[in-house]
Amino acid sequence: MLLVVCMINIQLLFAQNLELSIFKIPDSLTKNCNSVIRFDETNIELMSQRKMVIKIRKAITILNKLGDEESEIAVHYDKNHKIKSLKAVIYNSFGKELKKISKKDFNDYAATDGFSLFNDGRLKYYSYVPTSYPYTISYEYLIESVNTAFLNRWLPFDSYNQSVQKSTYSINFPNTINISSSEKQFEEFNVLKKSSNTHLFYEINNALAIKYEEYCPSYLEIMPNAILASNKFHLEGYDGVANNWKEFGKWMHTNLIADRMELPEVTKVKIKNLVQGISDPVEKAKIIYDYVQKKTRYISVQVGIGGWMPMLASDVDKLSYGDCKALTNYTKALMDEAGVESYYTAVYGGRDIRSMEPNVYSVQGNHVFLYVPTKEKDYWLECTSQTVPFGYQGTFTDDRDVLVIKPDGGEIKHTTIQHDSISFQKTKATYTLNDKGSIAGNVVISSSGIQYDNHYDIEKKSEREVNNYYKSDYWSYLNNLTIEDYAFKNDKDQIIFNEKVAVSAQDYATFSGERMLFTMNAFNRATRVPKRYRNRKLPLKISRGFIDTDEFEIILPENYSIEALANGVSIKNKFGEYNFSVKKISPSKIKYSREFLLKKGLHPKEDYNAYRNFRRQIAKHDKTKIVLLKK
Amino acid sequence: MENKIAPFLLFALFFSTHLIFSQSIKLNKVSKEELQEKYYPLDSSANAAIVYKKRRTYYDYNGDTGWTLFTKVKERIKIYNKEGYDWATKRINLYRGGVDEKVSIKGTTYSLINNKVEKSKLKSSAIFNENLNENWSQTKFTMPNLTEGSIVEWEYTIRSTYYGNIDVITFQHKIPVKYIDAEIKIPEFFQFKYIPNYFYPVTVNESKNARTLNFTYRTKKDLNAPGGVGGKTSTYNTDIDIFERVYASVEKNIPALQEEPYTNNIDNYRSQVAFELMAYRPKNDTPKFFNSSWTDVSIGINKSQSFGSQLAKTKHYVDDLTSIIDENDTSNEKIIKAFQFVKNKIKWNGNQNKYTVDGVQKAYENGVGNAAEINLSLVSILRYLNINSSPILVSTRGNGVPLFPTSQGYNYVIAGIEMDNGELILLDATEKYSAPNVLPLRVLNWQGQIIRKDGTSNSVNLFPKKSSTKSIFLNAKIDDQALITGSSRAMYTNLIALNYRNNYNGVSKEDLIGILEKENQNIEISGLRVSNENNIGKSLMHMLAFESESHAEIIGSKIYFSPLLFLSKKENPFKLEKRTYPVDFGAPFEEKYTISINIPDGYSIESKPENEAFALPDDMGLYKFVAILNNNKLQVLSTFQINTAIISPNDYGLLKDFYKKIINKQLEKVVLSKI
Repeated sequence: MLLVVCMINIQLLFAQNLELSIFKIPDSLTKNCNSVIRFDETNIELMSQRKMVIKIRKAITILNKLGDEESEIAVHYDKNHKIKSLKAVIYNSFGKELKKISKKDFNDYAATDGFSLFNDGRLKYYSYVPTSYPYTISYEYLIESVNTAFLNRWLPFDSYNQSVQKSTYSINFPNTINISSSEKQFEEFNVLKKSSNTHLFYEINNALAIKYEEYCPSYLEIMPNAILASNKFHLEGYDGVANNWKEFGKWMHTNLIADRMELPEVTKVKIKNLVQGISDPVEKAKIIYDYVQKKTRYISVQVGIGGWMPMLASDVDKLSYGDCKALTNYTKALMDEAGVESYYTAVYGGRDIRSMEPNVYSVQGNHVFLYVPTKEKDYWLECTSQTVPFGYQGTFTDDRDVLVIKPDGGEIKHTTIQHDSISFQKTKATYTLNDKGSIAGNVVISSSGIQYDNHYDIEKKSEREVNNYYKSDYWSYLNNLTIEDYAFKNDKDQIIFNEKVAVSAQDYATFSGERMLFTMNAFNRATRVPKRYRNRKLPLKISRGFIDTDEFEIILPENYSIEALANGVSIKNKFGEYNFSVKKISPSKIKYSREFLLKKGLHPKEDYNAYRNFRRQIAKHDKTKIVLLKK
Repeated sequence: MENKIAPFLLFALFFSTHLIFSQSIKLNKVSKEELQEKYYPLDSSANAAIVYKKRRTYYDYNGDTGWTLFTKVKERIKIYNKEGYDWATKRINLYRGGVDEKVSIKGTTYSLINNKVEKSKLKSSAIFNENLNENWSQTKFTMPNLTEGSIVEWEYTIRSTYYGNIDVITFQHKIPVKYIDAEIKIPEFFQFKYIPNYFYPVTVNESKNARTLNFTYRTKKDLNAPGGVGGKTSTYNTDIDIFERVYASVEKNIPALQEEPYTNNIDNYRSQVAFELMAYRPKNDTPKFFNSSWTDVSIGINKSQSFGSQLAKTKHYVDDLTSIIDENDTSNEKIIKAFQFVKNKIKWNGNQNKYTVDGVQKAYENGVGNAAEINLSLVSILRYLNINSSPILVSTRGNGVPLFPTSQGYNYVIAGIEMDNGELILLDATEKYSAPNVLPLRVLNWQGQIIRKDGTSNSVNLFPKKSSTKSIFLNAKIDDQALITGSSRAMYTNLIALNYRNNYNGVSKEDLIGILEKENQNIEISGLRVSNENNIGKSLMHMLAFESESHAEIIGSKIYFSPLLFLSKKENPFKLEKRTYPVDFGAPFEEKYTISINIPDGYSIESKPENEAFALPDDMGLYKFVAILNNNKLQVLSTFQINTAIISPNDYGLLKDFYKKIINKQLEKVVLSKI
């Protein structure tokens, strides 16, 4: 009897949750792993178009210090998206309670996004300092929101190197509401799905950790995930109903854009004058775009509905700044005035290509820009940049599905793909090697397509920065480099960036007794070799292709003769082509030619090694030396 | 105190000095010429320039609220191009305490449109205020209607009741400053000291100025008044004559401050003047003195409940401690045991503090603490063990080198042991892998201040005298296809070992192989063994078995390779021609490679790089290369030393050249030819 009392006491003193003990984690879930999601329950009650309650319960076991990041808790809120309750508990590896954390223990921060001047979102944040590993952090919170336009997405993995013991997602909704959803990688991960006309449920169990690998597709293409939307929704004071993109686009146009485009009379007159006598819509659009680029700059301010509704065109006109929505809307207003057809367009912007989810009709994307259709071709205008050439499709928005918003409805369109042959970089150089082993010469580089994106930025840089760019970045492998002179020509019509650089480098060649050795390819080496994986798990993705062509004329010192000239190489495979050749033009002059084509593509994991070998070969061949012997 | 201040005599001589230094220029109207200017005449690479900045700091007194510190700033910035647009956005940090600091703002953008000067006013709706955290808020705005060539101008006043907090006057920015005029007027009751940062020198003139101060004060309910408790509050208004100390500086054409690699904290090199409150002497009241030397500061800090008193708390650890200490232990054994004991008992929460927050006892119980809780615990434990230990206050690299002694000048504390032989041992138990006299990089900054048990205090040097070393023994074989196979054993000590352990302990073997392959010019590693991962008393060791196709090449009928193979340095980290600030390596270091390479049968060594050595003056650095032929074996010894952590900008050219020579040496090839 006494013993029993004793045990109860212990129980009370050290609350223990045996389910959270690490001994309940199957062995397979700790491989390649820094943290394990023990359970993660998202329960959404969509009560009506204007009310939603979200309940989250989650527990994560952190196995080592590399997993600590996953124990951070960050809960966003604002005045229409309120945290009703929030608490957390820390357990040791046996499931013994170490610490209770209540809502007041959380820090409260402005939810700075890193680019906005102002943003009214707030954040409750807690970060635990572990005293030993493993430990488990379990937390739960309840949110009430009137904004039903965004339903939580389901992404059972928070990160790479994390396994999931159990994760569920459940949403209940009235039968007057339809939920559309897009589910990815469900089969591969044996996701259980149940649905009815008032309920949708997902569950995943014992999902093994995924390890990040270079050149793999984005996490949304690898990990199971679902995004959902309600056909009746509410956003910061605006109700909406949409069963397809057409309806959704129409709602957006009517509520968020249509009455934001009024311009002051003075500006209207100014625009009319600017395009007077011009009938070609492309010419007119160019003039307007140039006007916007000169007049405005990007400043982001996100307050309430302002997170989704553009600032008034008349305010942009007055202030000359705005965020992507404001500047796109303003440009559109000017285009309308000039009689050029154009549409406000939502997109997922970023170097990682991400398309709009085609069957989920909701506010998607993280960026907007302007679509200008013409008879000959589609133009996509980035309105936040003061430097991008008209119609240039950089890596931020290329090759993806976007939502074009027209007054009578929305439609999905695909943006421009920069084909390999358009994305060229041509390097021509003539350089002289002297008998001290130093080189001096002129290099001309022209780049286009996605490669234009990599180069044109330096046009704006100061001399110091330009010097630093060539020395520390572009030609970092050339020691003792001196930039003697440079000039840039940015051909915005053809979208070609031209660099003309006069360079010299002391001690470029190395000496071995009577011999002098040097690498012929001085100005465009592809030195990067992809990482080796003994057991590659993920497919290989090359998001964008390109072609480089190089021609270097090399003048050799007179008192040296060529002892050994390298043979050329030619490689061709499914990833692309590489070849170089050397021609002796005269006893003291040789010509080095090189071509490297890389093709865009998605390849099975088995191909990764072959690709790595291809790049290894190229890295090696790019360092091919020639040997000169003193006469 | 408020109703005690009486008028007093003023010395006539104070009147005159002020006028001599009044050289301020009044701000002219924005002209067309200014708007048309295409680049800053003295630095064409500037994207923007501060053309005018006027700063006035002064005090007023009010009987209800006491002293208010006003800082009034008027600033005009010329924006030359789009890259300079960021300068049209201003952020002002304000302290939030009992009484929040307040700011009022006016602003105008001037642009030249159709050859006409156009003005756009900053609207109050475009000014945002955000609470950053408990202690700080930020007011921010961006100027409207910007075009290339625009001039923005704003004026703001910050009101603060924190009378000791005079903002630093910053003379140097990332963009050039054409004209700056700053004046700080301090009533006689406050005694401040100004401390300039001399990297780019400025002149501050000191003078005195007479002032009539209007005091408004209200008596609280006067208990002695007729009618007793219900007495009235009355307001009094009186003028008193005082003098003010005036610190004025007018500077022209200050160049932009540019960031360079291997710099400690760029703010250390920024031209600025700080003001330190020394004393507050209210009339007819006891004066309050504030810190005036680092020793005073340290002793002041030591008096805090969250510092010195913490050292006396022993009860909570005594039982645990005595169980691990043997009475026969030597002092050294006790030190190591105490050091490991603290590391095991209290984990660092990442906070750099000189004061405890939860206190040492709670930190001990929770097993988590900040830098003060951990290292003060260590000092306390060492003292308990009769080891002569003391806390050492430190300013971390992030905190920079403080301009004057204030308690903010220190933000961290470590432990020190003064041995009988005069040796000082430094300990920081926040890092699992730190060892005695091996401190993490963040602590290697400026100097520390030791505070002994007897209350004495003086400064101590924190920079390690011992080099961090990386020694590698490598055995390799080259075959007739130029394939290299071999094995190597690398040993790391001190700071290098600390960094490796911090970064890679816990990383899976497979991932570590990947990292080491990258670090070693893409060799392929077929085997890896790591020793002494956690044994901080010994060198960390990596043993590799490797293979490489790309470190020797066949050209014609000969084989060429660099004798250091993948250990050769390839890139000179110093690219720029000139340097303005010291190069900061953090700690002296040595890289020593002992290499033995077997050449393939049927080949002989036709030539090899010559033996060579070069050095930096004053024993700052040394490089030695020796290659010996031994039958079909090449034996190489390469030693690279940097003996001083910080190298002055005057020696930059030498350092750059030193690296260049080393790289050239290491790139030289061995030539093998067929017999």
